Amino acid sequence: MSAMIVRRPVNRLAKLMRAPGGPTVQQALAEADARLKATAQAGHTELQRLLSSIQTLGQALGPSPTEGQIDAVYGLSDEVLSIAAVAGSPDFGPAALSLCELLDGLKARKVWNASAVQVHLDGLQLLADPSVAHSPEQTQAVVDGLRRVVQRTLR
Amino acid sequence: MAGLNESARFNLEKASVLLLESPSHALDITAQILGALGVRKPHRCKTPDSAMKFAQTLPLDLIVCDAGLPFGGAYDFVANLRRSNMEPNRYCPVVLVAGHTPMAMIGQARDCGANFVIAKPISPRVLLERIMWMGQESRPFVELDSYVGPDRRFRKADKAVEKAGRRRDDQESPDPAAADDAPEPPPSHEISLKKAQP
Repeated sequence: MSAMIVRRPVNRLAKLMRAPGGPTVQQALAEADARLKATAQAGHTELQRLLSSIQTLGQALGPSPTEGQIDAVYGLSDEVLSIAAVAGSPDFGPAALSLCELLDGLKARKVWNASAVQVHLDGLQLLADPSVAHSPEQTQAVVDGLRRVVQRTLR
Repeated sequence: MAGLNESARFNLEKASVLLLESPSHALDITAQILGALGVRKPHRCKTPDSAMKFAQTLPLDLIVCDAGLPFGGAYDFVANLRRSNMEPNRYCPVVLVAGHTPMAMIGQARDCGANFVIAKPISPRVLLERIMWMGQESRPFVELDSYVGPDRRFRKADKAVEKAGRRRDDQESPDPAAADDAPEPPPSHEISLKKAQP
């Protein structure tokens, strides 16, 4: 059994945070909201680019994709998850999360299920289609469907 | 949930903050949030190597690191920093931010020596809560063959289960006042599995 060394270093962050000045929590959070709103348009453009790339790379996966191909789609989907809400399109977050879980699960099990992935690509495309009106219930139904696909596939 | 005191003031103006994240819109979002919280100019690094070199140049007060760096780079960076002889930076609070967070990743994050994991999309409120918590906590820093970093157990959590601890210092309270004054941990106090809502 190895010896354990316990140290109690000075908490430098604590000292700094207690220094006079600085905003209140309320002021800081209001400023953060304002800054995030200002990035929404750029976020929307980036989101469209990511969704387009997911479709392109996703359709190219085929019946036996390489690990690199899977990682690329996973990475894009992970980025969608990270920015969707701030970009003003929170509906894409849960769908992207579902795709991440599917790809991560397939990779961990060293199996592939092209149909399950295709359903996710279709789901994302449906949510992104500006010609289709989505009520919150319809969006939730799409996300619920994707989750069921993941559960069945990774059972 | 303890939550934040809306009228409390905090000052991060002089905080030296390292932001390690791949270039992306998400990086810009994180930088914007840190700026809104008062950080003057976070030092941005794109790779673990450049971050490690940067950490040798000045004392850091906070590190925010993207868990999704390629090849598990974030975990290696944190583990290497904790095991380095870079004082005081080896003790620097580290927040890992992650998009998809499978269970395996949570374990990796805890065991590399990070203080917290925050799920993306990052909420300013959640990030501030965690920063405030790290600015108040008195978790010891432990060094073992298998782990170097902040004690993975929380004092309050230990009290809650009312079990005798396995370590000698579980029986001691070197600073009882500090123990009593210790803030309650954030709701998902060790590792957050929930998605933060902005």
